[in-house]
Amino acid sequence: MNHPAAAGAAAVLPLAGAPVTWDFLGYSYHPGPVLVAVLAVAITRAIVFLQTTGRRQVILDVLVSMLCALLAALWTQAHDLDLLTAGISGMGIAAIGISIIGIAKSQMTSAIRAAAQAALKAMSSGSPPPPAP
Amino acid sequence: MATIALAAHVAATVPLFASDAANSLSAAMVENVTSSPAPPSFNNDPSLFLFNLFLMTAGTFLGAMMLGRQCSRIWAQRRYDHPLDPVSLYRLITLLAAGALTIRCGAEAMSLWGWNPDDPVTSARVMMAKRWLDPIALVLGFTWMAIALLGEPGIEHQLRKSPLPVDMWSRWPVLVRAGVVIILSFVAALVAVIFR
Repeated sequence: MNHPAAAGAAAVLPLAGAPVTWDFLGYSYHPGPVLVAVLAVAITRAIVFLQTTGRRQVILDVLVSMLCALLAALWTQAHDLDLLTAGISGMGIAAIGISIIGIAKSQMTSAIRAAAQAALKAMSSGSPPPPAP
Repeated sequence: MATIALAAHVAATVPLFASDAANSLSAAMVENVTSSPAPPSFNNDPSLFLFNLFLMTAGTFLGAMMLGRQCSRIWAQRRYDHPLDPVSLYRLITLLAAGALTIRCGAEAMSLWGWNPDDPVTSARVMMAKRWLDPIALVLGFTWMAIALLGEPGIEHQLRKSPLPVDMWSRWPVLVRAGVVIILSFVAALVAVIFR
């Protein structure tokens, strides 16, 4: 194996081994996976939902696509995904589409219900809450 | 010398007939290619990697679009076209070709997008998945060719009937969606190569 040649080939790519990091409102993220997730959302939405007609329908599609892209970018940043997982997440979120609002609503409802039940149980139990230190 | 050392390392660490991805030969190979942004067959050529990534991604999505379109056509016309009519054979050939393209390009795109020396298990998994998916695409291609051969006389006999001219140029707008997908795939591949 020719080691000097391999080292020279590696030197051609200055980006090798040093992933780019950007900063947005104090949150650092890798632009590659985040942008790939957004583009995966755009491609999937273009394939599935581009045949709609009518002004209001197109506006709705654009808004839902923007919501999906935002969610995919946030998900990718939060979990620090790689390229493949970021792309697949973007495609999945774009395929869920508008139902994602329903999913969020049901999640929020169940969370609020659980919190309310926990609060009620804490209030109705006989023992007083421990004093604050 | 490095090859011998690598082989010794692999023989020492990898059990024979390893079935899980973590202990596989390909995972050991990926682990030994340190911090390369592309698989070693690209020899650190970013433009070649970009070109392959772009075309494989675009091929996956275009094949999936054609697959869905042919399926919807076959389903919508199921009451009018007999399954052995020439038009049904034509649709079946297109369906099989689109399926073969989708599986083949999809497996390759998955393997290219999943390349990550920091995560050799995932890389090994997608590389092995490609080896399992490629033969399925080949079977679809062979079926397509067999149908083309079997239906050749009947299909050609029907296709020679007038009116012969096909008005293709009035349907250019149909290709807009394919163009959008190609452009977006190129941008995605460019982003992946630049910001890796």
